[in-house]
Amino acid sequence: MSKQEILSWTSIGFSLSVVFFYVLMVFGWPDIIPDYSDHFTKIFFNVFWIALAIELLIGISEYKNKVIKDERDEKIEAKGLKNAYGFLSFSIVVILIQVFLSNLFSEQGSAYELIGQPNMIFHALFLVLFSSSIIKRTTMIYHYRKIY
Amino acid sequence: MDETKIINNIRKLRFNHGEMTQAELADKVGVTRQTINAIEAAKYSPSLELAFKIAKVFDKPLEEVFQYQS
Repeated sequence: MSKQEILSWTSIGFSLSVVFFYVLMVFGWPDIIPDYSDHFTKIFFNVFWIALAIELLIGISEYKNKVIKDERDEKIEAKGLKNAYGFLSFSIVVILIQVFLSNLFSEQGSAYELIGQPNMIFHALFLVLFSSSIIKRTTMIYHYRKIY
Repeated sequence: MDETKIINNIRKLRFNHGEMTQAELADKVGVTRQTINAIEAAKYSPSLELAFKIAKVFDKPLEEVFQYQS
């Protein structure tokens, strides 16, 4: 497994941990599911620190190795970025439409106001940002494992 | 994505050059060992620049290292 592939795995672990803690802090554990929040908190806490430690170790070892990223890695990263950009663009358009509709129909009911509120826009953009990062890295891992 | 139509003799050439390892070839041309492995397996087509570098390591013309399978 190349260092770039390892970095893709750690980045996914890091992003998933951040998303989990963010969602848990902002929205809380959903009522319809039995409360396993402590269990998942421990798992994602460990994932977060292990991912950070591996990234630091790879960062240090980069100074010793001559080549850690080459044309193949850049090509695979470009494919990941393409998918992430597509998702990001689509999500932002959806959020903008929601904001527009919220303002347009805000007098008709509270449901339309939900996404139009600044804090909800912030949450949506935050989650979209990390989701696009997960999509980028997942695409890269797919290409590393299945294609190249 | 299917395997590329560009085939190569890198494995044979490495063997003929003192059983050169993939890592040694990778160091000589400035890529990772995984990229040499992918090229050998015809899963990845190298850039023209990298293809010339690999051919130069073996002191062979490009067409003796890489062939296009029509």
